[in-house]
Amino acid sequence: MSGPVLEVAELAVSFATEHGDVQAVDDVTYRIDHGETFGIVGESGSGKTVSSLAVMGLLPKRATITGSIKFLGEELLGADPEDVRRLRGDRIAMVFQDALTALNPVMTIGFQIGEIISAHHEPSKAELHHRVHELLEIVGIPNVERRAAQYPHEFSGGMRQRAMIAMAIANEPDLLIADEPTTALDVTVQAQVLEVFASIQARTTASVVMITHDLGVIAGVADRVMVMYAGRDVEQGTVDEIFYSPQHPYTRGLLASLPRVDRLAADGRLTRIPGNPPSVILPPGCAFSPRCGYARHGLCDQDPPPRVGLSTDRSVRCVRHDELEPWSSEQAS
Amino acid sequence: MLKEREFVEAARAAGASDWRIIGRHILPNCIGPITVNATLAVALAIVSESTLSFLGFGIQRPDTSWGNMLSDARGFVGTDLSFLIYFPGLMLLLVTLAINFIGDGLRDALDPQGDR
Repeated sequence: MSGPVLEVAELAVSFATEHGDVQAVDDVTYRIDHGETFGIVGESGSGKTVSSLAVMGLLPKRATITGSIKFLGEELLGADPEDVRRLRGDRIAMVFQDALTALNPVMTIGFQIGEIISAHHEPSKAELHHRVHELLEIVGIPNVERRAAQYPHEFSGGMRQRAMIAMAIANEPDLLIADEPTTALDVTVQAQVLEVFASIQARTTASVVMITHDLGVIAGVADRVMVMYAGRDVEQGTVDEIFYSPQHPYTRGLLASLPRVDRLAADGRLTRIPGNPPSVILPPGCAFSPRCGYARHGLCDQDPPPRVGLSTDRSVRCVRHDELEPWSSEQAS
Repeated sequence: MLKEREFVEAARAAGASDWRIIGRHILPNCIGPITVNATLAVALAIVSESTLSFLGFGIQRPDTSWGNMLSDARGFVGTDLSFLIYFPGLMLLLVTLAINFIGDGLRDALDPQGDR
């Protein structure tokens, strides 16, 4: 197959509320190629989940969506909801953060995995049985026979997340969207679940969108990264570019905030970005400017900074990005 | 609300149709409350019928009901036949209680997360 799996262009999502329109996602453009892992990083409320729900066509009806979302060349925005439903779970699948609430408590794990297959295909009973057990084995669940007959509350957190992944990959989707798949897990279990993702990608050609606020996860699994802040894609690049030469002050702030035992600030406190993310009402100009050490009055608080392309896959939204001093990881604190 | 629970969202993300979501995901999850409500409604209907019949607005003769029997027995209170009022009254009480216990039992049996 040629061409990207997913092409999102100038995506904007706003919600009408009592206090006026809230812009949850504002002019986001990105592309996901076959077999790659694309990381989306940002704080809570930065629009990372909303932008991926828009791809799934799962936003509530009161959301206003503009722009373009092309999946394998087909436009999804404005498409027949029934066609989009048929894609969901089959060609595009999603892994949720909290597997306990995302699994139906009154049905067995095996039944739920089987259901996602029979919702899109018509397998025989034996085929279905076989496939469910095969999927549970792929995601590393032992005692498949017994486990398939158990209910979600009989599973541990890590096992539930594996079962969710088994459901998501059941129909071998082209695109797998993982929304904070490891956030609710212990660090050791987190590593195991990420290994499951890696092994799936080795087996299939699925592209993965990894949504997280955990830079450690991104560094471990992503090929390319998009950093989001207040609904905009402030910086995009390969994982090395983002971690070794961040061009946006916000990305630098995020990296500097990573706690490191061997490098504390002089007063022994953790480094942080001053201020809070903007709430629903965005400041004019660059949304990060009120918290930014480089912000210049009369420049940064005027117009939203345009996306400046630095190379094919590299862009930054900062009018002063070429004036920042060179980055070395040591200057982080 | 059940329809806003995350597994319903997950079912939508899995591409389930609306009818599948209602039938496979929402209904099984509210079967407990539905059975309890249904049995309580049966008990309530029996009591309402008796009340209406006792007052003479319910089942009309020659059909009979516990409410009618209670109403008839009312005339014998204070005589040798005052025990007539006990039997329909006791039966009403027992049947209503029994139906309520069935409702409780069903809920315990149907709810896979129940601790009891």
